[in-house]
Amino acid sequence: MPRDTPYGYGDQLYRVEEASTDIGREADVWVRPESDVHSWSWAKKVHRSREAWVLMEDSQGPVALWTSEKGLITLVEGQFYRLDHIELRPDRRGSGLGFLVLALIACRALELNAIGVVLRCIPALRAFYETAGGEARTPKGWNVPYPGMLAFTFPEAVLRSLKATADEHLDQEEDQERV
Amino acid sequence: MSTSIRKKTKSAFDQMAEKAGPLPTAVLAQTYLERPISTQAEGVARALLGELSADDDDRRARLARAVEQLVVADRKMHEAAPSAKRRSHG
Repeated sequence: MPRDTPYGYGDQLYRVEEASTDIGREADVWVRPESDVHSWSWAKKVHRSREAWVLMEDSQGPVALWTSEKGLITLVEGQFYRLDHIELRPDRRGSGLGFLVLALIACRALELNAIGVVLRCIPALRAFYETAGGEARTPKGWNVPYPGMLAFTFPEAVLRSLKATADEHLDQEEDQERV
Repeated sequence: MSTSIRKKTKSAFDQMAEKAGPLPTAVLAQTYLERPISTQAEGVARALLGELSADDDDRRARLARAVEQLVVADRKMHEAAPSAKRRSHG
């Protein structure tokens, strides 16, 4: 997952960085619609997670955050990257940006040699994850204490496919300008 | 100054977004539900009761609003995941 080369999407450039608690505080004051289910502090999540990442939009600040409290978890099938919380800035909803973020998560999982990504979400997001290639299943050995939530697994082949699509968005212009 | 023009062709991510349709929330995944807010609301409610004897209408109103907000957030969270009751490990 390149930290130096930005991703171009639409008319904007985006960079992925490790999130700080200050970034978390910025996300904590995003204006959210009342229908959004959001009950945590990003600043606290960033502080206590093994890793936290942010997608920064040039001149616009953070537009998406994700955390993995444990990073890799070992299950029967192998090591999975456990995605715990992810949110797109509400005013960026409706574009394909959420899929770009998911692809960056795939990049990060592959970087850690994970064989897949696991997550849980509300059932209304099924179409989002299925469209991205996820399988609505729980990998063997992973507890599902929340029957109201839907578990998704992204196998390694899907991660590679998402990464390939993300790589198409790597913006080489800056490099060319520096030459 | 850059002389290149960023590609305007439709990305695979755009196509995915069209296929998936509108998202109901900006929260894409929430693997772990937080401690039920009702527990926190209960704590705030107790604090509110403690404050009721104080002659401070403004403070009482603010505390009442805080409790109300917590209860609403709690309801929304459990509507999204009605069977969610506890944290797990793994």
